[in-house]
Amino acid sequence: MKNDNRTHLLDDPEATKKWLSLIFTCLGQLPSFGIATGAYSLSLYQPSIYQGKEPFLLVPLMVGLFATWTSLRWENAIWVIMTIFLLLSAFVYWVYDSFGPLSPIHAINWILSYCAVGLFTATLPRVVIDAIKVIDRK
Amino acid sequence: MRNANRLHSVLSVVAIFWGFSPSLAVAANCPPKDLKPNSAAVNDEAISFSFRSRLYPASVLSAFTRPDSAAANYCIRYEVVSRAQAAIEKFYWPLAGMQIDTISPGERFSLAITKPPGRDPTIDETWIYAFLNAQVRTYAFQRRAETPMPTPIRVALGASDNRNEVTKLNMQLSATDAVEQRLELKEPTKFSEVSAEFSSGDVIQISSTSEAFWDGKSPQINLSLGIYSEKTSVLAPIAYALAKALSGPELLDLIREISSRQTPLPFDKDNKFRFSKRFSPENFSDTKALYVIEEPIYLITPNGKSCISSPIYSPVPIPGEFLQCRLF
Repeated sequence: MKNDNRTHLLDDPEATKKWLSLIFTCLGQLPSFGIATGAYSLSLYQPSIYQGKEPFLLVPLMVGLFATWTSLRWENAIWVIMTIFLLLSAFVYWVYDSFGPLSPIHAINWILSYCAVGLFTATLPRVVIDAIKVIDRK
Repeated sequence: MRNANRLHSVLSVVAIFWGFSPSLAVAANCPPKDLKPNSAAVNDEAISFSFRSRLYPASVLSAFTRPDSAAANYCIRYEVVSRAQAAIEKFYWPLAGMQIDTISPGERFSLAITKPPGRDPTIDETWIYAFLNAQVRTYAFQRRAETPMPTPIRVALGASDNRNEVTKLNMQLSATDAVEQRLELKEPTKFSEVSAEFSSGDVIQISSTSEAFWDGKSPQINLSLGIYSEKTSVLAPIAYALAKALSGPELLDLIREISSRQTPLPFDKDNKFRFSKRFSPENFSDTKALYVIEEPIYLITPNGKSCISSPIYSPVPIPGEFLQCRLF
């Protein structure tokens, strides 16, 4: 019975990928959406570092959408996106750990941290589909 | 030497006569600064920030004084004292409206601020931030305004096809959350003085006092901002714009311009910036009410920057984006 369900999910892999992309893109934007609306705060930095910079959260939104679109259009985009995600995450960590609290670079780093989340979630649909395929084969 | 002393005395008397005293007057009816931790009326909390494997202890104190009459304002004083061995950076206390770039070891910052009349302040939860992401939950005296601006109907914004109406409404919508108090203009009235006083030892001392009158025709606003501090530049875009603006739209343009150019306040020889002005109903659209807003005042010294929120009267609500302290 379980096996049947798995088969149904992958009956139309393209449609499944599109739906998963939509879900993960929305999930990836939740942290920045929470900050922008003031609903909740999931942030690498305290408010005085990013206050007034909220309109720039459109940048991670655009990055997330573009990365998702690219991964849908091009099969191997996941490797490029994953590489950019790793490099960007390393840069965000390096800035966070190396610069003093008074440096204005932290405001930019705050925006980049949400871009990293957007890139990561863009890779997840492919990962989930491949995982289902592997489980299905067993 | 004797002559020098005499000259100093004469100059001191002259200086005091002109209002340039070495320490500014304590804001009316406020708890005196340097709050004593063991006093019954003072709430004292020990906090500690953690940053890159080091602890930075500090004390936060708060106290308030009851007004003489039911219609008068309360005054709450907030203080932070660093007990750390190294500087505390990016200190931010939203409740007190205090943002300070650097608090040196042992340094004390004190802010007295008036709050609208109403029930007594109570000790309640407050969050304080520092460094990159250190946050501490603590307790301090606080209370909310009891006469806030009514909640606007946001859906109505999209319904209007008149561009000016949209702009006006949009301006009010964005200001809603930031408005401290809305005062209806009915019978001729003299409104309670609102004030703030900020100090750090003898290095920085600044006080702001705003009064408002309504004679039944047009509201009058007086503002006096005095500073005793060497090598300190003061930015108060809203106060400066209120002094210069001749109409509501011009006021917003001026705030924007002064903020972006970072134009410092021009102080007179008494180290004061002051204006007394009538705001005509023709030029300022919303003169059925006066607003008490908390404007950011920036202090730039060689040791760093700080920002406080100070209550002042305004003939129009000011968009929230201009009421936030932005130190970068």
